[in-house]
Amino acid sequence: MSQSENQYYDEFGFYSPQELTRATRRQPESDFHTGPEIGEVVPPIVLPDQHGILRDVAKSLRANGGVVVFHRSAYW
Amino acid sequence: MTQLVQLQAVNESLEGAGYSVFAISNDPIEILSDFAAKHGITFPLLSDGDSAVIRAFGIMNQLIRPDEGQSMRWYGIPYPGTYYLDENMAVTDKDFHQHHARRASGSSVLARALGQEVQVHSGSQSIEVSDQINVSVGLSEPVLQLEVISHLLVDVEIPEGMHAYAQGAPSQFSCLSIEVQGEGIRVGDVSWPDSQSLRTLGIDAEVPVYMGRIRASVPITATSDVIRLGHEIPESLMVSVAVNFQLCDDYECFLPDQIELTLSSALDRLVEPEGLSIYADRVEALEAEIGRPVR
Repeated sequence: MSQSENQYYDEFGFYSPQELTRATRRQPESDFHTGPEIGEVVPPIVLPDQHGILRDVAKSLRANGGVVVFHRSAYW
Repeated sequence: MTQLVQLQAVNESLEGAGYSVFAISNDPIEILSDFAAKHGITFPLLSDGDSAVIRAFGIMNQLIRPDEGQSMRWYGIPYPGTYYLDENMAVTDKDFHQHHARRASGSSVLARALGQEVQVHSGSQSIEVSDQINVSVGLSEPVLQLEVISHLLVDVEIPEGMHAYAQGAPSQFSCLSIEVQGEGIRVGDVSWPDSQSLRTLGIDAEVPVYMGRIRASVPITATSDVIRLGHEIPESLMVSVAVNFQLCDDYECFLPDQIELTLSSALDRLVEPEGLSIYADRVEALEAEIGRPVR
């Protein structure tokens, strides 16, 4: 493996053009905490949406519930 | 980013089935507004600017120090993941990956929310081969995306009056198995349907078999191996599928055989991060504000 490759491949074999030392490329332990478990009620979510309108997820769920996706960023 | 675009593609189906979709990040509203307009996102992109909700869930990324990536708001990002909630905000299922780049595909999210099997997407290439058995393969998405986990669906049709051995059958029989290979792809464990029990020739026991039409599902991901500095990302990936089987009827067994197929799947471009120009502007503004260079 060349030196340039060492710099960009992580321990999962994942390649990114960003250096491995970059903070956003750090990986949690395999047993990292992933929040509320199955069966638990999640904390309230009341936040503004892309239009600046305050949304209360508990009041906006449809008849069967919902899918809530936490993501790192919409722009990087 | 790419994930949000995939979610938009299944949003209508999810809403139609009685599920709402929300995405949460610590992005400011204006970033989310720009992104939604540019990519036609209609479901709510929620802005958790001070990461209060992310902290309340206990999923804030603890590996980033407060002084790192200030202009990009690295501090306060969540570990990416998906919760499936019932109508009372209780978790019915969730999906987190240790590696930050891995995601379930849009159609996988849809199937998981609905408690259904992932379907072959009509826009994916599907191939059918008939020999002693009929095999057809297809993908859950019209295109594979880097580190997004799609599914390869393998339908096997066993002729009437015949059976193929399933996992757990005595070692003298060749069990139905699937091997998937290809450059730049990673595959997970094959998910098989339940087998049936059959009392068969010469064995004083019930043996697990498959009969009729069955579907196996294989998680498949385009990996970052396809990216190399200075090289173009290929337009498509080749996926080789081999199905090994041994057919028997009530009286005799045929020799073990194999069917091989090669599927071509388009590989999607990554959604280009708008962040780079925004980033430059932010660094400039932040440096002007605090009067020193930022990291």
